[in-house]
Amino acid sequence: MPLVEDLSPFKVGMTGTFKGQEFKVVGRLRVVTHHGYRNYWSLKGDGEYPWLVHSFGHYALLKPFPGVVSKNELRKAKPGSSNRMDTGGTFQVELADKDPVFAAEGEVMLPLPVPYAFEIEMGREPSDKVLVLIKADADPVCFHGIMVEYADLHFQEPLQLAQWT
Amino acid sequence: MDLKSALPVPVRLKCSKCSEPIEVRTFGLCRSVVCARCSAVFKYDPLEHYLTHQRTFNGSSKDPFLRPGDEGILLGRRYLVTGWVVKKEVATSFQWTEFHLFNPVHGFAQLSMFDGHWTFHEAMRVYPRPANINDIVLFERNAYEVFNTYQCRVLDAAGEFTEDPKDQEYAKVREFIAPPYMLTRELRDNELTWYQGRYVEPADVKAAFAKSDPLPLRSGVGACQPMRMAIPVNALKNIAVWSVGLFVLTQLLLAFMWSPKVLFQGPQDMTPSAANEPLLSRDFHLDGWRNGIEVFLRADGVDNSWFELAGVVVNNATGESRKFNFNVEYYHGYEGGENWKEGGVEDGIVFSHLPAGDYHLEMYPTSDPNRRIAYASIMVEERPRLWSNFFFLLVLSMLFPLIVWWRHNRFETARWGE
Repeated sequence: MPLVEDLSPFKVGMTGTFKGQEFKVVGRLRVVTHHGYRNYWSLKGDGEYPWLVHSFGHYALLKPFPGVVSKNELRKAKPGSSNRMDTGGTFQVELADKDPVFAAEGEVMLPLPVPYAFEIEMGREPSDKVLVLIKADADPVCFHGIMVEYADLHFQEPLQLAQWT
Repeated sequence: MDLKSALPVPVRLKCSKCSEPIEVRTFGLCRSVVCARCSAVFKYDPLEHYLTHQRTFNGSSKDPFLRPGDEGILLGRRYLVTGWVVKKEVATSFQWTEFHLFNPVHGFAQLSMFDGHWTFHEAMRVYPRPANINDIVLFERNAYEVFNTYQCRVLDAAGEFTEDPKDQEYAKVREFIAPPYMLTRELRDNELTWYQGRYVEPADVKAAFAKSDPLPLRSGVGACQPMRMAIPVNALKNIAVWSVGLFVLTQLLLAFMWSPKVLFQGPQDMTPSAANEPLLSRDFHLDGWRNGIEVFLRADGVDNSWFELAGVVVNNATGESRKFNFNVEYYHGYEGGENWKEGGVEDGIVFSHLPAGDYHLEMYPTSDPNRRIAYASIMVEERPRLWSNFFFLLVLSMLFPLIVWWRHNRFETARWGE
């Protein structure tokens, strides 16, 4: 599926820093589901986060999460319910979306389990997120994320949407 | 600044039902478009820029305060109005309008308007925690009470949306308030979203979008409308407790420093003189610059009778005098199987601002002809304890907290009564 204009403030080739570590946006995976979209911007650099996720004005940096969660348990997960992670901590299910449609550009530094069939987003305070991507024929793949503000990413290029920041 | 120049040129389409031009400004974020003229709802294909007709609203609400394409700066951020939705609670007749606002960096927000009250809502990144008491939730040091739980019907809409506006009818909504803030929990089959709202003064909305149209009239009290010049209930309680404490302490201090002093006390012959001469008390002396005394009468001989004592307090040196008039009557009996009594045998009066000097009382007694009084007890006390003054000041000190509490109570009753 081709990419469509979605007014994302990022473009492939932009460079920024997060907590002093430089990164470069090298590619994107755009996932569209029934309830919205996510842009997984692939980052190249010294930082620990290979993905910058953007959706409807919310931004999160994601990295692989070693937490093991049962596929069957996650399939039953409903928004509002709580799930205890094997690594500790309880997360509340915010989103459970099916049938994603994909579009992509550039290069990807760390592959997502594409095509996955089911995606669960869970959150807890403070600004702590876990994204669980379930590939139909494999164990769930988990990513741990932190919510960030757009301004935290310190992009060096003049922003095309500067008037809206 | 021309804000529109900051976004790409919108996709220009036409309504297939009424030929009204339609602009799509949110491109790939847009899923649904509603014609502002005929209320036809279309599914939008962002790849082909193609509209597929879904349904048509009845189009009863065609005079919204904000229209798609309006731009402004609200609460420090630029927003483009992308659409509006008129909703109604399923179980009631309450109806409101939600204006959808878009900022490409910060995402979507909503400005809801009910009865002229405006609330700005934004999706939350961090969710509130349950307090496990009465469904209260906690967020950023505020406790939010449940205000309303409902599902809605979408009556009308116009503009572009990230989903079919009708899909909003599936959400189970619960609102929590801690004015001027509101938290809204929207639960659907596959999504949980919390919004944080805050009350916005109508004039601020008008100024933000530079509108010259008259604002919708505000009536009643808004769900999260703050009370003007409000004092938090806890602060009010503190004021009341401190006021009472201060007055009690002052009274105790005064009582300790200036205890009453009996100048004279004892039986006084109350037989009127034949020549109508006054009965005289013995002299008493007052030292202070301004003195307060209480003259007190106790006539134990009054029994199913009355006694009257008129008199004056006289300054021996200047002859200046202050009048008093005591009336005591005491009746009792047995009637209809019950004891009854009425009146009493005591009376008293306080004089203030008496200059220093020697004084005496001059008295003219009159007894009930059926029961004459020979003696009564007269007491003159310096620096009497004036409990009436204390209680008067106490009530006065409570007046401010009481007025504020009454005002707060009236405001909250109106809020929750809506």
